[in-house]
Amino acid sequence: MSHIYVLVGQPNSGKTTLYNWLTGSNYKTVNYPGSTIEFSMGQIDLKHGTNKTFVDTPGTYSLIPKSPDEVVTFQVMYDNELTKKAHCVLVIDGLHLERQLTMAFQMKQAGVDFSIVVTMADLLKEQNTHIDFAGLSKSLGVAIYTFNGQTGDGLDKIVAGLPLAVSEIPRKKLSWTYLDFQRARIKAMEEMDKVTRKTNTNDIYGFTKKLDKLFLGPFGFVFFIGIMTLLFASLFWFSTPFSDLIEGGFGWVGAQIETKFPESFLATFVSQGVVASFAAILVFVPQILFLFLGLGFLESSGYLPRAAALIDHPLRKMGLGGRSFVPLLSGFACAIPALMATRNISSKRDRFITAAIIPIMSCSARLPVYGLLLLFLFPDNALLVGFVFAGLYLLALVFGAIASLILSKFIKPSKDQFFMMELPLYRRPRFRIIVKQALQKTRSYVTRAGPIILAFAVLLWLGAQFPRVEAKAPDLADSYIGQLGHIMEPVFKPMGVDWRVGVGLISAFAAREVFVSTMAVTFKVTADEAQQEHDLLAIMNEAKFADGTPIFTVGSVLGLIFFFMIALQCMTTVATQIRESGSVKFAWGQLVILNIVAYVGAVLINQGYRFFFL
Amino acid sequence: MRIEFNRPYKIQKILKLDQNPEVTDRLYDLGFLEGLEIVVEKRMPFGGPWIVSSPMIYVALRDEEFNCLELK
Repeated sequence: MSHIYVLVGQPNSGKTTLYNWLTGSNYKTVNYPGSTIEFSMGQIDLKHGTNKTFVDTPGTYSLIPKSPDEVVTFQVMYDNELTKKAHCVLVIDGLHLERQLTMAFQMKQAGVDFSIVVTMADLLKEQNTHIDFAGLSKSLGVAIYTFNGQTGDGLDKIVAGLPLAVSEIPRKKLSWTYLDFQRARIKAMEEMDKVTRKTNTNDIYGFTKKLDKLFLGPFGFVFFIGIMTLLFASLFWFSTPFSDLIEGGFGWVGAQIETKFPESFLATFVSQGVVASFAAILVFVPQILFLFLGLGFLESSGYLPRAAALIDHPLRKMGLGGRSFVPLLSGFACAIPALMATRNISSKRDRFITAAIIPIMSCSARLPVYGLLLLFLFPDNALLVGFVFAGLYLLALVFGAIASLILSKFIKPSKDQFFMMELPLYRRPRFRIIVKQALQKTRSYVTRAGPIILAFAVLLWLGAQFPRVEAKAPDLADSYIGQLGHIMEPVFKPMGVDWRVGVGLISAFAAREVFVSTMAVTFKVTADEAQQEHDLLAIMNEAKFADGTPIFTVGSVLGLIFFFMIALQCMTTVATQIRESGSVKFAWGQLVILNIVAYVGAVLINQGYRFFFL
Repeated sequence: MRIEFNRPYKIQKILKLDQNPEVTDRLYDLGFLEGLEIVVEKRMPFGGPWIVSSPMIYVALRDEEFNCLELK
């Protein structure tokens, strides 16, 4: 039988780092409070033993929960049948030992069976602080271990020392008053005075405070906008050479297949259907990788909580708060973890509004679409595309702010709002870990989107090839996909696009990235032989309606960009929204409203462009 | 009182906000208790949060949170 151990502790104390070392997992560890919002369970890494299961919980400041993520930890400790009797490991940040000991007193009072692991032991040494942990352990009557999250030192002792017996004493639920906190603080001070020896104490916050003068000073917003612009613009700049390489490689493979097997149905399918679709999506993998690298760098540096504090005031003017910043920024990678990250927001109102606008944030699935459409608007100007790319991310924030302002007019301010953001030390990002996590996420993106893209590519291509006419593919307009597209065309015509783009827009409801691969299929199969030699952009440039007018104009492309910025096409997001908000009505309402706004906006942009410029 | 930056203050009292006792509860959680010596480091631009530090706290507080701390 496996013994279960629950890791608990205050936010940013190092629980997930310890959990990763113990279980060999690669859960994301970042340098801001509240990064874990769901509990996770993992078996001990076989390198360190067997029959031990660890539970990582969201950080909590006390055993009296005040936000939904703290409620998760509370439920693990008190209600969950599997874990409510389990031995707890209280993870304490060594630099804040005195303050975080309060939780040890709470756990003792609640009758929780626990040990203490003190993290950041390396920083204590750096600070010239020497703590007699054996003495403290004796005084508290609890086993104490030290752990270095950078090197893993101390892990073996922790594993060897964990008890195998389970306490049957029921845990008491606490309700502390100010006096209880005051008593615990005094007790913690006394305990620490007995065991702490400081020699020539270094101010460990010295460097952090110097950097904060810069990042949080009068030019803080200049740095903030500069950092965010650099992050999003560099996605395009850095990734272009890699994307060109991938595009060239797939183009060569497709051409080779068709040359080797001319007139072969299968070869044409593989070349024009499968290879072209994969090329259209894999070409954007470098951008997605750079996005995760950039976000990982910011997360582990310690800058994010500062950015949240910096924009707390402007966000409040828009009906949100600084605590909404990190979920919104996560929304630029993927809406699903971002929605879960809203649990860190204590205010119900802020949580609701943040969850409502997260789908507007430009998630990584939109990257391929933006990349294609922006390259169409600004061909051969990578520098400009990079800036416009960053501009789209800022525009997403502006749209989010407008939506938030509107929503906040209808929802009364709640009483449960607080900000209080702890600012961790700036730490040198560990590139090996950032690269590893970014590669993992990119791989997960490819494996998640890949099968959907392939399935759609196969269906679309077959739809374009049948019904056969004299053993040959029909004209596209007569194919199954053409017939279906023509039925839908009246809906898409006001957006300034034809049925082929319409098929792409519908297919994007499976996954947004599918839009690009669908375009690759529907446009390439309609192109004549000369056109097939060009890439998708060249074909888009020459695509025309039956009356000879171009399909892709500035108006229709801007309309498409707006559509993709606002439309909620991801069903997993809807499902997560239902789970997080507990309201089916809210999730479906959001789906309907965002898609109507996206469609109407795209139509207005296209028609406005035609009215004023054509 | 007028706050001067980078000067130590002692927390004299934590004022309970009638409409929002959770703010003060969270302040206790973070270790803000009477008698604690803190330094008001700075205020963020454009009326943003205050940065307050002590040997065991380095935190950004909104106006209404900061105003719960009666300093001397």
